Amino acid sequence: MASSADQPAEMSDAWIRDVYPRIHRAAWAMTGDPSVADDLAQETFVVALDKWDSFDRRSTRLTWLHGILIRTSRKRFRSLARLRRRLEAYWQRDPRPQVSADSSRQLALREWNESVWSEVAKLSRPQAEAITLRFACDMTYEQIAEAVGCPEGTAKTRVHHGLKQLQGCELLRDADMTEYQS
Amino acid sequence: MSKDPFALNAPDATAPQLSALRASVRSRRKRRYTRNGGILFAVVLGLFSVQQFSTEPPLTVDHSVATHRQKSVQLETETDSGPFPHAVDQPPFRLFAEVNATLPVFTFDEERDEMVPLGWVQASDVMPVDLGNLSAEQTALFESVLHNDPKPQFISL
Repeated sequence: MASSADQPAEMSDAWIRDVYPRIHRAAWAMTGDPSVADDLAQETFVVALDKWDSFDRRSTRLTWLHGILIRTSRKRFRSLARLRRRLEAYWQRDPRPQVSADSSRQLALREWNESVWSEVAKLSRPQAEAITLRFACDMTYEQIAEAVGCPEGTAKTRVHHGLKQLQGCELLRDADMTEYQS
Repeated sequence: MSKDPFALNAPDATAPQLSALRASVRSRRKRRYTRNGGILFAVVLGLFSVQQFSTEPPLTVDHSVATHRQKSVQLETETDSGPFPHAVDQPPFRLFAEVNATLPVFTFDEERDEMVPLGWVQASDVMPVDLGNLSAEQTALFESVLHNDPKPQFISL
């Protein structure tokens, strides 16, 4: 049952401090880059404040926030893909930018690259979103369905097929995947 | 006990202040309104440009030359006997009217012997508007306007 902390009447600094780390954590699991996760999480809260009154109370505010995060990341993914295509056409080479990262960012990037989340990011977008919400945010299938805008059965299927594909990766070779399927 | 492969050591996150979020929303809304206003203005301008050079009068307006002439003569007669001696010998005329809507503006092209559209007038613009086919009530109103206006504007076509 949703508590008043889950359904605040107005956005407040205390509520932001409470839920921001969870949104940021999901953003980092999806992207692996702390600065991109910062941008995504902050954008999520700006959109949430802008659309605060349009919340229909079918879920908790946190699930609603995750939904905004997913849509924001899709938007970013699409614009990056467009930019990549343009750059590739222009430069005729791999346009990966050579940026110098600070040490904490490099550390976070390396940790993400060595984690299972870098493998999750290689899955299809719907599968990656469902697995992130399930295992990085501990959301139920019902909440995942609400956040990504699909039926609950579809959310389950996406997690199931995503996990099946992850079974082939080195990091999950020894893991018992059946415990994650429930 | 095996390590959870999905375990995440997420980097520290500094939550934004509500005041900063509010400032972002304000600036975003301002940009949105400016952009939408610009688009609306461009559409209106585009419509105006298109209509200005169109030679086809709108189908909903009856501006046949015969009606126009007949009404012009009638108005001439009525104003002739009214308080506007300067209206004598000014047969077809146009009124500078203040309109509160988008209206088509016509003029009579003598060479082509037909009414041709000039364009559209927008709300509160003061433009020459051909009143065209007037009813008896409209004619009465028109004459009262002329009577009360110290500077009735007449233009010969």
